[in-house]
Amino acid sequence: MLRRLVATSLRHRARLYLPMVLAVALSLALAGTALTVGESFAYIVEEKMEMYGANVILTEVDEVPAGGVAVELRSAELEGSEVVVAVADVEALLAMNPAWLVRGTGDVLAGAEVAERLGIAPGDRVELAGDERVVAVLESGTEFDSYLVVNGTPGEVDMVLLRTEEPERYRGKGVVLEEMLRAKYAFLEGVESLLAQVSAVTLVTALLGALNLARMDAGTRRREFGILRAMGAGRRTLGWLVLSEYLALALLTGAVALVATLVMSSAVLQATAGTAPVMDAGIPLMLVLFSLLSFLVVGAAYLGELRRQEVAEELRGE
Amino acid sequence: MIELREVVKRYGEVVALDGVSLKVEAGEWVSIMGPSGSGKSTMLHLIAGLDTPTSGSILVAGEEVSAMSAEARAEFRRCRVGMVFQQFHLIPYLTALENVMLAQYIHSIPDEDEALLALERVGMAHRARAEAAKLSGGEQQRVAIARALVNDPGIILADEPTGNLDAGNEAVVLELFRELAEEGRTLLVVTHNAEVAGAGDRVVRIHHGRIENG
Repeated sequence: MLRRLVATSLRHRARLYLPMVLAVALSLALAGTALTVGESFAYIVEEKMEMYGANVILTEVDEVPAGGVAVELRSAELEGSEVVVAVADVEALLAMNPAWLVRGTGDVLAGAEVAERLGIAPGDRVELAGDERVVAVLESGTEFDSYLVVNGTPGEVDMVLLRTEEPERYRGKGVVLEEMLRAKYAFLEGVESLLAQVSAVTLVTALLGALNLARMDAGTRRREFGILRAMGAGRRTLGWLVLSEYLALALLTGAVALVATLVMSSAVLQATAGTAPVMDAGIPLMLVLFSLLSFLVVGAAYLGELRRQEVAEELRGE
Repeated sequence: MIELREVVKRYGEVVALDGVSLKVEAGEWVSIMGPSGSGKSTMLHLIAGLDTPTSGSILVAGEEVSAMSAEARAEFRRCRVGMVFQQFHLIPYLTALENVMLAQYIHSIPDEDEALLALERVGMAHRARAEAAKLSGGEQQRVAIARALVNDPGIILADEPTGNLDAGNEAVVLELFRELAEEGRTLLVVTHNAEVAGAGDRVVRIHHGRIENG
């Protein structure tokens, strides 16, 4: 019967409750979107870090056709001298860097600086890890000039080539990937902060509006509650009735806020970062909890308003 | 038995009841008559525990209603009293059946079959699924009587039950009250209508908050 009463009452008051639900849901959705954008930002950084490793070497944006090539850096001894060996898919590396000049052909690319230091010329043979290999000389104009580049599949990735629109900023600095990603997606933090501030203002406004609507509704329902009290309904029964209505409104608001959060955060992230939102279970839970809290406040104000009424006055003949 | 002892009710400077004493035996039908503002409805509300007297006491079956807490008075109403009002006071957006079941819900557990029986008794079973707001005045009052009866109360308090009804519906309601009286229920009926008042066992006249005949 309580469910029937609540459902009928909510249907009857849809015009009053709908703006209340939408206002609170929208403000919660703004907060949810702020959190989702923040979480998605953290996820983007984390995902790229896992994919590429910690350090980066950057090239001109148009030099890299797509994505990047993982590079593993090792130390090795060559001709009695210590060199840095870069293990990578050499073919891919060269394809992504068409401006690089390779003199000669060989199994190993000696960077120009290494070749000069060790007196290596194109076509020379060197012994590396017990194997004798033919060397070609690489002139890249990047850190690779100080490496010995060996074809292979990197194990633990230390460096990576990435495209960037600001190569000068990062060139040759061995920038930490996280730092670069954070710089690249810094605007998302701005979006998150803006949304959080707007949501705080709208939530306060929506709650004040909801409180006002609840007071108005309590005024129109005084007679109805007078009738229930005349029939013997105690404070607990009336309290349950009101709380059940507001619980239903809170759940509805939470659901609307969740859908709106998904739609808004998808739109924001697609438009700004070209990515889908990432949302863990905490955000829907937060939306429902805040919705419950909001409507608990409104419901309590509503009950307070109704408790002030004099039943006999309400039922007196007109 | 209902007993009022020197009951005074003041609203600020206005004295609504001025030392009223009255005894109503169990199973008796007492009609209360008097001009508007004489204190009839106030007396009924005090007996129902909807309000408390300024002084004096009200006893129902030996229990002092006027000394009870608000929650105890609510329990007293839901277990012992059925109320009927001039304005019917149904919940307008609920159906006739739901209005009756609401009284059951407040009392204990709703039972649709019993609620339908109560509506059948007042000749309203065929309108059980109709929204209360869409019923005529006579139909609404009959639903209100079904609601008052569904929990089988010993006392029926009616405040101008025929005040908003045409002659045809007045006769129907009066006939229902006769049946209730025959079942041994105690009836207190506030009315302006001499015919309704005359149907009871006794008429009490009240004027300026005082009973003119006891």
